[in-house]
Amino acid sequence: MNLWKEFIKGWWKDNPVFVMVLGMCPTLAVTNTVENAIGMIAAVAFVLIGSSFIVSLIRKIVPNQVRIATFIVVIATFVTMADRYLAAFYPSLSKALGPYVPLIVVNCIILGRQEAFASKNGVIASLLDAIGMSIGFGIALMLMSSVRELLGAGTWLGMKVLGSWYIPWQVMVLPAGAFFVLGFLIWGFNSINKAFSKG
Amino acid sequence: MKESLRMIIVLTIFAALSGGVLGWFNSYTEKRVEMNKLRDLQESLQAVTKMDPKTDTYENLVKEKDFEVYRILSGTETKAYAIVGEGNGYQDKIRLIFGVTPDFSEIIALKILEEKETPGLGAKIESPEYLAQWSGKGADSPLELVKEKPKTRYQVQAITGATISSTTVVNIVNKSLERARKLIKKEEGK
Repeated sequence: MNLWKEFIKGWWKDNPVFVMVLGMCPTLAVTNTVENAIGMIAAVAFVLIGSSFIVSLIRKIVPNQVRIATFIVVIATFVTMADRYLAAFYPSLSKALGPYVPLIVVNCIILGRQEAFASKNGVIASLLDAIGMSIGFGIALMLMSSVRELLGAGTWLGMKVLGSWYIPWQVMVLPAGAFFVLGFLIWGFNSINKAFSKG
Repeated sequence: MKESLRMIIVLTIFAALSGGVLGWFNSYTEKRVEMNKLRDLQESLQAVTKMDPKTDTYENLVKEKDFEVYRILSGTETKAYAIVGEGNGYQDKIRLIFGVTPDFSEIIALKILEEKETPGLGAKIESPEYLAQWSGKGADSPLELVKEKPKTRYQVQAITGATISSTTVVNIVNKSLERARKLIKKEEGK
């Protein structure tokens, strides 16, 4: 097995957001500012890497019939830890992300990787897969939130980028803006992919 | 039979392990979470009652889901009251805190604790320009929402394009003031 391939596939070829279209809930809901997106990326990466590691370790002792239940218990444990950690050390971020941190439990990217990869592969491959997918998720959320914050508020990570001549395009930080940006980004992603596969 | 026994054992072990890990982790974060809450409360009280954190103390009189009252004391003398109120805004609940003078004649300042109003419209209830007008408003008679510049100290200017959010804030203040006034009267009667 080519480990490098497992590591980089999530960045572009199998990007969890733009290609597999998984994890739409956080992608749409918390990308109104770059700061929120960074918090979500960190929480998802922690949960994904942690649960992939545990699931690949225990994959041989878990009976097939209860594998999903076991994976959910493992995932929920990591999510609760991430949630409590944010509440204790980053209270304002925790407030801004609201229910979307506990909702990582039902994020399809995470359960999907356990079911499709970590439960069938060794520890090293699963860890690389999880890190790669986290990077892919990170790329997607950073793109989404950068576009939305820049157009919707004229700032990036709270810093003023566009001058006072710019009238913020409010719709971009509202839910409708999330759908616009996601649609355009998926379009762009697929166009690039098509152009390359032809050449 | 053997297979189902194995399922039960595996799931039980993982659930127990997960519970153990979370219990340990909670004991590690719980204190911090409590401390954050306490610090937030103290900051809010200072902002709306101008209390001096070094010399003044505060005590909680009521703590309900949508209504809280704090008494700010300078020694044994009541310096101000801080009231927390809640109501339905345009999108979600609006929760706010405001300070009043001990005789309930004037609002000292107002601060929004929670809101999820529309950015650019209703969310302006958190803007300093809007909140500034609340300082010095009369508290001995119900406040009224107006569209133009306020003429008396019992009038509050609404935010253009955010009638529901503006109305909610005024309603919460009026309702909470009324409740707090009754409560304090009862306290003093004792």
